[in-house]
Order: sequence, then C-alpha cells, then structure tokens
Amino acid sequence: QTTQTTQTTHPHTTVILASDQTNARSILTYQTNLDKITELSSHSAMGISGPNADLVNFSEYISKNLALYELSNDGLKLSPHAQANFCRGELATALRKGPYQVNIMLGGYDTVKGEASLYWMDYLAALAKVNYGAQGYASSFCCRLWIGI
Amino acid sequence: MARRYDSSTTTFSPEGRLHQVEYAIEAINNAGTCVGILAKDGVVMASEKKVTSSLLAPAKSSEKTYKLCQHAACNVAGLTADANILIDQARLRAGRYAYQYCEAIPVEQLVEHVCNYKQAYTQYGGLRPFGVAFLFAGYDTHYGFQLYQSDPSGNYSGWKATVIGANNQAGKSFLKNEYGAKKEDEDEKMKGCEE
Repeated sequence: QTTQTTQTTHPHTTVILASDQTNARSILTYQTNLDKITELSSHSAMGISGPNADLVNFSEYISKNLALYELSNDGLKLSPHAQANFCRGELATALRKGPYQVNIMLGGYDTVKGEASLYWMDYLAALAKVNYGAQGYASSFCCRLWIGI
Repeated sequence: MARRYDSSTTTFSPEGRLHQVEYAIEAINNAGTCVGILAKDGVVMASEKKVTSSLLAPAKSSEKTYKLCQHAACNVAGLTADANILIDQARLRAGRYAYQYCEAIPVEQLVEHVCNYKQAYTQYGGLRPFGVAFLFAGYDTHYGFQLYQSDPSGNYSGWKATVIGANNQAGKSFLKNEYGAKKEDEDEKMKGCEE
C-alpha cells in the first residue's frame, strides 16, 4: 500500500519575529530591555542572538550597509532573499578570519513579488529558507510545538 | 589654441572642456551604427556590421553584440579592443553582484558601474579615455525593460529609442519623429533607421 502526500504551497504574506530582551553574562544581568530585532528596511528585520559585542556590531554593520545600498541606488530596496544572502556572505567571509558568534532569524516582505519570507542563519554561515524557526534556548521549546505543522 | 590643453585627459581647457574626451566621442562617429528601441514587451537593438576585407575569416561571434548576463546585453560602437575591456568589467560586476546577493543585478547599477570605470580614465592616471559608446538593454523586476546609452565621458542616460555610431544625429531625428507615432511599427522603425 502506498501513501500519497499532497502539499499545497501558497505565498505567505506575513512574517512575525519575536525575541527576548535580556542582556546578561554569568551572574550579572546588565539589561532587560535590549532590542535584539534590527530593522533592515521598511519591509524587513533581523532577530539576532549571541554575545552582546558581536550582536550589536554585526547588526549595525549589516543594517548600515543595507541603508547605504538604498541611498546609493535611488531608494531601491533589496529583497529579503538578497538581504539574507548578503548577510550570510558576510558571516562566511568572517568565518575563517574572525567569526561573528551570532545566530539570526531574518524575516521580510518582498514588495516586488508580493510575498513574505523567513530565513534561518547560524554563526557558521548556514542559511535556510524556512516557514518557521528559532534560535537560542527558544528552539528547545518552539521546535517541539512545530512538529507536524 | 586648444592644442595646449588637449593632450592631457586630466586637464580642463580654459573654456572648461576636456578635449581628449571630446576626441574620443568623435572617434565613435566613424564606427558602425547601432540602434536601440524600447517597446512595451522588450528592447530591440540592431547594429551595422562593417565588412572591412573579404580576406577576413568569417566571424564566429559578433563584434557588435555582447551578452553581459542572463538579463542584459549591449551593443558596441567604437574601438572593439577598448570595448572588450569594458565588457569584461560589466560581466564581472554582474557576476559578483549575483555572488553577493543571489539575485540579478538591476540594469542601471550595471550600467553605472561600467560608466564609473570609464569616468576614472577622464580624471586620473593620465591614460586616454575608452573610445567606446554602448547601448545597454536589459530587464529587471524594478523597472522592467530598459535601454541605456553611454559614452567615453562616463555619462549615461535611459532612452526610449536612440542611435550611436555613424549618422547617429540623422538616426535620432528620424526616431524623434517616428517613435510612438504608431503602436505596431517597431520593425518599420528599425528598417527606417538602418537605411
């Protein structure tokens, strides 16, 4: 007996990113209101986790480079797909020099294609387009909830 | 009088002109004509191939038309040797963009890159400018089908229809009158230009 699986794919129109706001190390909690989601453009954002130094440095580096792209190209926006690949490329280049110890969830809406997308990226510069995902301790809880979704 | 200021590319004349750049543009007026026309559903480019000698081996590829990437191509008027350098630059740029963003380079960015490269030869180094004019045609999701023209100065602009090379003035006047007059006549316009 054979089992058939049919899957219907339809373009998604929404992405949701959520993160905690803790900035802590060892026995000290420095901050409980750190915004770990960085706006990349009017239609995309990136949630980052990792040591505060890399988190802030990398998020600013990427977001400012993407802002420069828009300024240099008459307001043209990069799609989330392009942003994610750019981001991954930067992680990959730094990997064998001085790696960024950051894990990322990048989500955005492509205004040209009219669809939303979500990308999972880790500190080893792996990149995957996903419908749902989590980085950090959250993954231990969320992934179990998403099984069979 | 202009003689004192026309040998160096990096010097303005007292009238505020860059003579070497102007001479480079002149050189292209002897080159085979290229016509480009933007239509709703595409861009058409046509070029005149000049047969200089019957002894020449039959060309395996065009010395006028070049593919830059999957979604853009160009036609050349001027010094082919100079054009080859710039076409390499364009192809590299398109490839590097795709490597970085996993996406097709927007056509204007490709054109601007080639033009910035050309501009450097009008300002630094004491090297002569490139004796090439291009017609760039391409498609991207931002602006659809596009047609651009660039010259040795490094200036570029987007066109609905334009001509470069020999008789480009006559060609442009013809297009000015004919373009957009009737919707179906793209082929007619191309034939008219070639005449």
